[in-house]
Amino acid sequence: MSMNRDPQNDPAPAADLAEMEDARLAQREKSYSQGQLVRRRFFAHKPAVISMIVLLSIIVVAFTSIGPTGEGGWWGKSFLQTNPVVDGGRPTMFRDGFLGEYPFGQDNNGRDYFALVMRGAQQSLIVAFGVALSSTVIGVLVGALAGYFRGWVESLLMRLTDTVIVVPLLALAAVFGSYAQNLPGGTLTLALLLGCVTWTGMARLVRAEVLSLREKEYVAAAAAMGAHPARIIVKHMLPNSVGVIIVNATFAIAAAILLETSLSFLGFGIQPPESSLGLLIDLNQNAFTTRPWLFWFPGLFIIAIALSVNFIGDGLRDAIDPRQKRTGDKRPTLRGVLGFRGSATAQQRLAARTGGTPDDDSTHDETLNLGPTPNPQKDDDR
Amino acid sequence: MSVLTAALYSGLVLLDHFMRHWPGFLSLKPRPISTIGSSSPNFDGNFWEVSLDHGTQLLLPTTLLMVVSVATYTRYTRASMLESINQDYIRTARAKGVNERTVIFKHAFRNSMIPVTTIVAFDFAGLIGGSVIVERVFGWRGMGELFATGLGNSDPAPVMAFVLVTGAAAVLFNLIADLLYAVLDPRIRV
Repeated sequence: MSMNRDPQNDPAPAADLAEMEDARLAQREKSYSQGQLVRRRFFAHKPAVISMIVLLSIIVVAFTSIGPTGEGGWWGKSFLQTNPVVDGGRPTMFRDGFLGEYPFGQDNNGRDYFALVMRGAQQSLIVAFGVALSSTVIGVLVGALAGYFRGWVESLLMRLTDTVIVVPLLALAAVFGSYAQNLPGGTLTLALLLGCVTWTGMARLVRAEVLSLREKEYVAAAAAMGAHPARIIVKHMLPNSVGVIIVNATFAIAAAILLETSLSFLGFGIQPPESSLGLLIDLNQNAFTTRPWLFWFPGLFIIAIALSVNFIGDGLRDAIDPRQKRTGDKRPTLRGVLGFRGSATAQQRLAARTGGTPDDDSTHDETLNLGPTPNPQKDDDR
Repeated sequence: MSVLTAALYSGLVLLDHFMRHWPGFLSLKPRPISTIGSSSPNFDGNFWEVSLDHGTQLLLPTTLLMVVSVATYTRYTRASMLESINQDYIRTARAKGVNERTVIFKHAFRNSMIPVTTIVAFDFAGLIGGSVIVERVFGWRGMGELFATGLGNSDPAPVMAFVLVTGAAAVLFNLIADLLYAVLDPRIRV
């Protein structure tokens, strides 16, 4: 069939049109599986990829430098061992070679602050991932049961959720944290107990998702064939809501880092001589004006971890949610994430006014080459 | 209208009195904004100067708690504003020739406040939780400090009182939010 015939005089039969469409699609691009699509979209999200590299390097450095138990990493100093204080504990980074003897300085007792911060980062990361895991498990369980069974099960579980929500998160977490101090298991126990406080958001989201999924035909079909509710929930509902779950688990990690930090700051989280990022800030808050590095380095690590986890969550949400297809123009750029989207649009408008076409920008990097956006107001990043 | 005028004028009179006592206050407390406590220790002055002292001590913690919430509210308001500004009734209002300020404030902003009201109500409990840390940092003796010291001393009574009061406040604020829905959107009946 010829491609350039006049469509008004010679309407093609419907079957031929469909074949043409199929051929065009097959010719234009290869097809991808769902997992491949998600991966491609995630790796196209520059801030998320950079954040993932940052987070992975923090994890690797924190766990290998002083070893997972605090003994025997490549750094060679323990976070408990006290040394004579050199030069008032000032950081030797960039002053004495690249790193020097104590790159982050020393604390009052002459302990190496780099080892302390690394130990703190380890503990904070353990708490963060433990909280995310346990709160996700509890939240998914409660939400799925409430959404699937409705009736009195839902009333009971949702009232329980409301009760937990109504009490301030920090108050409940502080009570659980001070309770965890008397239990064996240390940091991991604290993480699992904190998970019992932060599951409410996940439970509500999963319930909403399950409520909409249970009206779908395939769920009705599975139920008609006599599938057990557990099978329907595990095999049909949870795989279809995995996007929501993963994205919120990621944000739960960031929230848990901050929660652990505030708890340790108040003295209800991790106790000395163990180290955590919040605890280091609490112990050294009076040194802020005299020895600010005791404050800056743990703070810097908290910000780095929390920010990169948040960006990864953003990237995952954009990658998994197929409803907001953000490719090409709509893809979030580094500048957009940092809040300079307006400047890029302004430059583009300027280019349009001075007579340049969007193609003129093709020599610039991708952030500049936004091209005309059909409806800029839809371009919100929530 | 007369009530409004009275409120406005009494506000102006109060402000005038405070401004008048500002130099006296400065001579008593040369560096007006300090970071510890809800009032300066050993501060001795008349009613206006003591009030000014309390106000300046309140400035930093208030700013801090405010800054924490501002980012969240900004994003929520932006999202819901974007949603309501694309609605049909906005286009209708513009087509009728309503001026832009009325369109933005009466039609778009009012409707976009409904989700924000929910967030603010929920945030109240979180703000009390956040004030635990702010009180610790600024050395205030408030609810949060009561809770923290009670928990530190394994004293259940203050902790239970804190949880009860903040829980009741959260419930109350959710009720207020429900009432505000009806004010913002007359279609919602309470």
